[in-house]
Amino acid sequence: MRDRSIVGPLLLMGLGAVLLARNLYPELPLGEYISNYWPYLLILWGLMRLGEVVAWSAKGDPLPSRGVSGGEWVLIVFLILLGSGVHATRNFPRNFNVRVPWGDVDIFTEHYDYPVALDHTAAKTPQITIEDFRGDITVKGDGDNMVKLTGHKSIGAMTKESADASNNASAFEITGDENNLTIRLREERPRPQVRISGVLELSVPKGASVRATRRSGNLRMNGLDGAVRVEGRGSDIDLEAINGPVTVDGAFTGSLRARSLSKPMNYKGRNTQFTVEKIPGELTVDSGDLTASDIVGPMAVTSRSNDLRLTGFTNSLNVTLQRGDLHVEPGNLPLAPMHIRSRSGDIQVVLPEGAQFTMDASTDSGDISNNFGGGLQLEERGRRKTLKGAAGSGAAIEIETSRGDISISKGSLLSAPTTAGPSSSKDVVKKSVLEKVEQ
Amino acid sequence: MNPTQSRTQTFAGAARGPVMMIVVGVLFAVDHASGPNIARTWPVILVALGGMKLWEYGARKS
Repeated sequence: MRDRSIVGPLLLMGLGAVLLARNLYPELPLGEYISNYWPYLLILWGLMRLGEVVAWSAKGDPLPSRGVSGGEWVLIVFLILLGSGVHATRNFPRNFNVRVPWGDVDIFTEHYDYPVALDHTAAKTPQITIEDFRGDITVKGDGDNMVKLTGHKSIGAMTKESADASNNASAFEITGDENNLTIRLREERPRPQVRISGVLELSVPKGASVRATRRSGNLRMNGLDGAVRVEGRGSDIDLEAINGPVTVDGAFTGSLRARSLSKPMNYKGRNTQFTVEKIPGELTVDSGDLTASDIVGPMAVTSRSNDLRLTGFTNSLNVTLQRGDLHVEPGNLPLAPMHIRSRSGDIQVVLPEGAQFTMDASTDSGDISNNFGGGLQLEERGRRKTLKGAAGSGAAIEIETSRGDISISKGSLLSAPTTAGPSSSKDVVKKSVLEKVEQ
Repeated sequence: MNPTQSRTQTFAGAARGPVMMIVVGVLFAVDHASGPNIARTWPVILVALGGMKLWEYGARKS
């Protein structure tokens, strides 16, 4: 007699382990894991079933007429529907460029606000830690040696009495010494049916370093000289006039805007990662699409399925793009090396008049248009096209795409040391657009 | 039909379901990893199913 299948018990144990992990580590982004990795469960399930059939066959046991039972097929269809549904829902805002409020929707509850006003003395360059709580926070650097927290605590509850009880059992607080301060929400008996969030403004010494762990809501930081680190998950992030290194690492569904950053920035989002040396201008990541103007490299970008538009950048650029269009327009001469690799999507490179470079561009399936001229040779071999050659002697520009068109054209500089260029990035974009229209 | 033939025939039939699960899983995994879309690659399922059927025929004939 053949042994009973062990796949069912193993799957049950796996499901239990996943739900247990979720309970022990509530910050675990389980939805994201399910959304991205559910097909591997199907593969694992199939492999275990196949392994069983092979083992029974090797032992000479009678084999079942079908390796997967009718009930299992029903479960498999449910798994496919659930997995595809979660994946489509989580990627919906990115694919359709629409933002859907998600995760913080309260049904049948009223919101009751309670004021918050706290302060604490601080050193000139303290380390500020903001622990995760729901809601929005704005962090501002100013001249005082004080940390001040103002705003309101918002409690979503069925009744005013319930909200009052939760208000008495919870408080925002500033703890620690002058050099090391923590801002957190203390809850004595957290109740799942009551949701506490904050809309807060935090004023800190200008020299402060800030580390914020987010659970939801928007974060704004302005005028800080220390290092900034943001992690967790949430909505919009807005960073301006930060003079310390910036790291953003987490699953943020809203937009990222960074302006006037004078130290390196490192961003690790769900679909896009980048490092950049400085951002004197502005960089935004909105619905996954990255747009940057007037930035200082070296810059390295990796993106899964979004469009990139980089104008007025200096120093080297390294882009790895899976799916999405790319527009690149360097901001000064001489050009720095550029290495662009894309699996699918059009690549448009606008180079300034008088640029010197060595070009090696290729597409496996698509067209190459050269409006720059110079000593560039277009070759076709089957569906593969290459554009090679040099315009003077300069930095290497390497472009490689599997599927998509490549366009090289002439544009203008944001700020050329050798020529009197236009004064603002808007002028440059306008001028290069006009030039393209004329062509 | 000797016992070995019967076993091969049954093995092909028993392996068909698990193999199809693996194929479907791989197609979805490729889709989610920004590879070719499942809307384009689904005919692979038909090809795999046909291949498995051929295997069963072959096993039965031999």
